[in-house]
This record gives sequence, C-alpha cells and structure tokens, in this order.
Amino acid sequence: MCNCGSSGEKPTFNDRKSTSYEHLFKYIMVGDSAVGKSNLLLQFVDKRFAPNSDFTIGVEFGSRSININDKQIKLQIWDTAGQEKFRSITRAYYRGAVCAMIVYDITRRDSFESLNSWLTDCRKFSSCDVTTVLIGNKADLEANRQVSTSEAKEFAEKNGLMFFETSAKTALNVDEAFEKSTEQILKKLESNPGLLSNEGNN
Amino acid sequence: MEEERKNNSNWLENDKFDCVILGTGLIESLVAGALARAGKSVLHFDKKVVYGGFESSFNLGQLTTILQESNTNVLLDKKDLVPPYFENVVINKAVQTASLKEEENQIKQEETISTTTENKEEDKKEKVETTTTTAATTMTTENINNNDENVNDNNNNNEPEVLQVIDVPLAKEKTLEELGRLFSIDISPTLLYGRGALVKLLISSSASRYLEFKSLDQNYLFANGKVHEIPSTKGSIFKDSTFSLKEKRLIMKFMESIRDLKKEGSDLDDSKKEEHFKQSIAELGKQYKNFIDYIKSYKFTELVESFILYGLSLIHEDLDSIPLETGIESVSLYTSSLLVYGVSPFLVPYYGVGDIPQAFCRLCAVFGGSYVLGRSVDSIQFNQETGKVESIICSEGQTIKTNHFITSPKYLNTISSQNNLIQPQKTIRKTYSRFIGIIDSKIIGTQNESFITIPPKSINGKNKNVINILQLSSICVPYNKNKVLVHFTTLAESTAENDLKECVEQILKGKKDSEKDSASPSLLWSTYFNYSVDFVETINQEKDNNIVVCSDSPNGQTVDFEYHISQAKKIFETICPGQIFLEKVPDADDIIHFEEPETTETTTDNKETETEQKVETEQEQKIETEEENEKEQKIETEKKE
Repeated sequence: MCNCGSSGEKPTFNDRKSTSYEHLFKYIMVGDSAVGKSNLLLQFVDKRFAPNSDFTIGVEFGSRSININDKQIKLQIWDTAGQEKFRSITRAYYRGAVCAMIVYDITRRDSFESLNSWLTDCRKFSSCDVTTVLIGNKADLEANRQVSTSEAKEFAEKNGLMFFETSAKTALNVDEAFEKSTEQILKKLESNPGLLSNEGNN
Repeated sequence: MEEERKNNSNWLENDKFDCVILGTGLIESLVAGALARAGKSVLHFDKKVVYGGFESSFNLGQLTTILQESNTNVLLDKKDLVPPYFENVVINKAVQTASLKEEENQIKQEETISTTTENKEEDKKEKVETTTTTAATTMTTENINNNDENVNDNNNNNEPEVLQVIDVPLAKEKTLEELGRLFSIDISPTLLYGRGALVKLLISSSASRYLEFKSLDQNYLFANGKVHEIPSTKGSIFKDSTFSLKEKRLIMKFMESIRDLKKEGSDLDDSKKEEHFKQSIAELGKQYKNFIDYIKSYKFTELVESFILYGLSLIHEDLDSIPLETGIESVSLYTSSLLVYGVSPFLVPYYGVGDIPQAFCRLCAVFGGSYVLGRSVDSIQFNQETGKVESIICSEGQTIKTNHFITSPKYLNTISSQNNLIQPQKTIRKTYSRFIGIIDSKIIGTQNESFITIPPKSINGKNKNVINILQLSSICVPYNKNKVLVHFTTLAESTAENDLKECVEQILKGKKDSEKDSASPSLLWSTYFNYSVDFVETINQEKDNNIVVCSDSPNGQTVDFEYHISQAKKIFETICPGQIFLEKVPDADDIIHFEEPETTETTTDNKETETEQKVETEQEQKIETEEENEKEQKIETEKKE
C-alpha cells in the first residue's frame, strides 16, 4: 500500500484531499493493548486526551501535516483497531508503512517484555527500510514506573531504534517523536530516493 | 501454554456478542465486516494463525509447512481438518528440504532479533555462505547465468535505476529459500473483472483502501499446442493473425449481439436495460436451452467456438449445462470490463488473494469487531426451549453468549453440541487439482501477468476438464529476481499430479515460434495438491437455530467473487433485515483532521488552502461519478516495470 508517493506522482485513494504536501508518510502503531496507542494518535492529531475512552469506532487512521525543514509532510497514522489484542493484525496493516512506532507502557513490565515479538512482526511484514521508533508511554505516571529509562534506551540502541518516553496525557514528547522520526525518514529519503517506491516494500 | 488455556473463564473481557463467526474465509469475512458496519458486535475466530482459510496467501516457507502437515498424520484428527488443508500433496523434494531448513533458520533468526543490527547483517552473510554450499549451489549459479541473459529484458522494461541501488548491499545472488518470504502464493488464485462484483463492492464499501491491484497483461487461449492471445479490442481482433477474416467477422457479430442484448452504450436507464435483457433472454430461451446451444447456433469454426466458450466466457466448469443467461452475462461482463483498468478485463490482487478477506476483517475490526486467530470454537450450547443457539465454548474454555453463530461446513464438523442440534448441511463438494510452480523465466510467448485457458482435450486429447493457468512474474514474487509463479487449476478427475503433470510439462516446454524466443523455463520449486470445496446451496438454518452455515470460500476455476458476495449478502440479510450491506465508510480524513497551528509562518496560508480544499472536496464528492471514483482507486494499471 503505497500511500507515500510524493505530490508529483499520481494521487492515490487516500491522499487526494490535499496536494499541498511534499510527502505522505504512513505510520503504524503497534504494541500491547492499553499501552496508549490510540491516545498517542489522538494527542498528536487532535491535541486532546480522552481518558478511559473506548477506542474510536469507525476511524482508520488520523492525519496531520507537519513542517520539517520547510517541507510540508503529511503523516497518516494507522491504528491497530484492536487487532493487536490476540496478535491478529492483518498483514496489509504493515504494508507501505515508512515508520513503525512500537509502544509500551512504562508502568507495565509485561508490555516491555512483548517488544521483541512486535519488533519481529514489524521486520517480517514491513519493508526492510521501515524506520522504527520505540515509545515508552505514560511517562506522567512516574510513581508507578516499572521500566527504567536506561533499560529501554539500551534496548533501543541494541536494535537500532529511535527512542522517546512520552505522555499522551500531558503531550510530553508526542510531537517530538513524530517530528524527529519524520526528519530521519527524510534523511533516509535523501540518500535513497527509491525508498518509497512500491518495489522497495518487499 | 495448553494448560493455561483450558478453563480460562475470563479470557475475553466481553463474553456477550451479537454474532460469533468461526473461520476467516472470504464469505465469513464479508459477513463480519458487514455486521460490524451495521452496528453488531462481532467476535471472529480462526483456528489457523493466518487469515483467509482456503483464500489465504502464503510465503514459500509457510506454504511448504502447511502442505507437509497435510501429508503427514498430523491432520488425521477430525478436529484439525479446518481450512486450509490438502490431499495428495507432492512437493518437489530436492528444493523442498533446503527451503524448510532455511525457513527454520529464518524464524530462529527473527526470534533472536535482539542482537545488534550489525551482527544481524553478518549473520545474514554467513547464512548465504552456508546455504550456498548445500543443495542450492547449482541453482545459485544457474540464477546468475539467467541474470546475464535477461539484462536486456530489464532494460527494455525501463526499471527505475534506484531499485538496483537497494540491491547493492546484497551483492550475492539470493537463493530461492532466502527469497521465500517475498512470495505471496495463493491457495486458490482468482482474477477479478474490472466491472465485477468485488471491485464494485470494494468501491462502495471503502474497503479498497486496504488493497492494491494490478491489471492482468494478457489473456490467452491454448490451441493447437501453443498459446494464442485473446484479442481484447476491435483493433486487436483485426490485427490478430490467428483467425481468418471470415472468423473475425463472426466474432464481431457475436460480440455485437451480446452488446445489443444488454443495450450497452444506449441511452436507456439501467432498469430499462435490465428489462430488455430479461425479455431477450426469455425469447432466446425458447430456442436454446443452454448457453452452449446458443453458441453452437452461430456455426462457428472450432477455433472460434473455443475462443468464445473458453476465452470470453470464463465459466469453466460444467460447460454443457451453463444456463443461457449465465453464459451471456459472463461474456457481457468480460466485454464491459475491457479497457476499464487496462487492456485486459482482469485485475489481480497485488499481494495475493489473501489480502481480500483481510481487508474486510480489518473493516470489521475498525467497527469494533474482535479478532482471535489461532483459537477455535469447541462446542455450541442451545436454549432448551427455543432450540436456538445460546452460547459457544471457545478453545480457551470460556463460555461466550451469542445470538448468532456463523461458520462453514468443515468447521461445523469439528464442533460438538448437545442433542445433535446441528443439522447436517446439504452440500455440493467439488475437488480441485492444483499445481504451483516457481520457474526461472516466463512461459514462452506470454507476458508478465498472464492467464491461459486450456480447453478440454487439448493436452494430447487427455484433459477432460478445462485447465486454467495464472502466471505472475512482477507481483507476488520477489522483485527483479527472475522468479515466476505459475498456478495451474482444474476440476479433479484423479490426483493433482495425474491430472496436471502432462499439462505442466507441455506448457513449460512451450512451442517456439522462432529462434529468437527465449529458452523454456525450468522449474525451481513445485507442488501438486488437491483441495475440496463444500458449497452450501441454501442458507436456511438461521430460522431454526440461528446457526448459519456458509460455503467454503475458495474459488476453484470461477473468476471473481460474485457467488461469495451474494451469499454473504443473504446471510447478512437474515441477521440484519433491511439494512445496507457494507455501507460506505466516510473518509478518515473527514473525521479527524487537524492542521498544526504553530507550523510557523506558513500557518495561515495553510489554513486557507485547507479550507479551500475542503470546499473543493465537497463539491468534488457531489459530482463524483462511479467512474471517477474508480479512477482514484490505487489500482495499478500500467507499466510498473
């Protein structure tokens, strides 16, 4: 699913609304249930936090345009639609993603322990060039922390991931995580313009 | 793990659903998507860890594994006979052992992913070295040779150079096993008509956003020992060298008469056209009982007759009893689908048929459906008074209340119930013979994505049934690696190997027109197997006990999914009478859209353009005809290469 064509290419189904951006990047969120994936999406796209909300029904993905180095970039962030709960995410979800955000909850050790298997899935189903970001969410709940920053940092370094501790509630680092990862994708794109082509997605 | 699973009564938080669906074949997935879209709560199981049942696509390693499971005693237990499973499996042994080993290696490697990326790179290199020293050695060298030969081909195809840059770090030619995970191999490959039922549904339901298609390059008929292009337009019919001028006139006359029956291109509205068609068919029906009688009445030559019967009509089963209307509809669908997305009337899913059920499952999940792969339903409990289904017990041991239960015949056989309240279904069973091969170059005389129809009795006069071949060489295979996937399908008379072996040999050998033609392809990997489909003709169980049994989904030799969609619709209507089947989903961009206020100085401009665009979009949407909508599909129609 190549939603990531630059504006010069023919429009695809999802990006016809706006032609004022230079790139459309598909982001996917993975990670255990209830680590705050949907809330991160909501905070980034809509600048709000909806505690204990049932996940929004009928919403595929959220989009927001950001400006990086004077380039208008539209991010389209896909949510798992709850299919992560029993590890039943469809393959098509991963397809065409240029960035995968693997999210865990810093107050839940088990969600950190699952990271390896999420990473495996991402590498198995996404393109080889997918930028992977590790997100430790719920950083506002410092008192209940079960995963130390240094440990997560070490994991991220070992696996070549970008790393942020965020709070979907206070918006801490949320924009940063998206902006910094987009910067990195743009850098990759400069050195390898074929990155977004369909064939690269193999 | 097993122990943990049993009697886990709080495994699912929610233990009450409107509908529980078991099996993720296309029909079940369509129903799931439609029910969730209409507001029902849906719990959807599949015993396998892959979506799609028989309608799934696998990479090479996965396929080898499931085929081998079918051949051993693993599946002797009745409970394990859920889609997809196979019979009479034969796998080309020499390559197969290597591929399995490789897949294991790969899995191991993926599991220990926490090693540094650098180490991983090194591992990979080592792996290449070790595997090349084994059985794969000869194959690797062959591949390199082929590469040299095909350099010209690649240049002709104008492949973007950047793609070669991607390949640079892997200077060594990869073995088939290493490339294995890049294949999408269908159990039951299917073509879609550009104006067929599924494409229409994908557009009307917005599920198209999960899928990509490529237009088939060319449709062929096999006659007199060689493949003939089936001309698709007036122009190409007259350029064609297969038919005589007289034959061409007959073909044109026939196609005109079909267009006339449907009043295509006339100003009449759809209902008038439909009426005209019904009347005409009724008229014709007085003279001709079946489609085949009607065709015979034209007194075509043998070649033209098979061109129409097998090339233009894609109903390749029970040829002698195709009703007149069905046959004419089939030809009409073919002609009206021409030039919609490409020269050929057909589309092929870019990553295999397996993505189609997944698209509707995702749609179901987006509307709140719960998905559980790798688990099943063990038993069904009925209300003693009403006799209707009350709850199911899942393989985790938890009892889940439900008002409706939907599954397919093979799954139903694995479920126990009190008092045998599950009625045995009247089903029609069809068994198909399949061959899947990976070859190193295209079948002689064909284009990248090709569909070949072999009429009965044309392989040394032996094949009783039509054989269909789908060749994929730029999609569903590793890119740019000279790997071509060929699928052979036919109604089974015997084992797959008996039914197809001669055909495979003859087709792969090919018939060269001139010395310029490239060499015959050689087989790198192959398998023969049979599978059986149970068709449920009437959906009437719902009245009695709220259990709906639907047909198995695989398509066999039928093109498109009209049957599946109409059955899914019927099931949906028994549960949600009067509601819209898979109503269009508003574009997500309309629901959440936020333009960052602090994007520095450009903000105001952006906002203005944004509002302008929104206005534009609204107007656009109003005037959007279906035609335009279709164009906006991410359907790959052309020159990827």
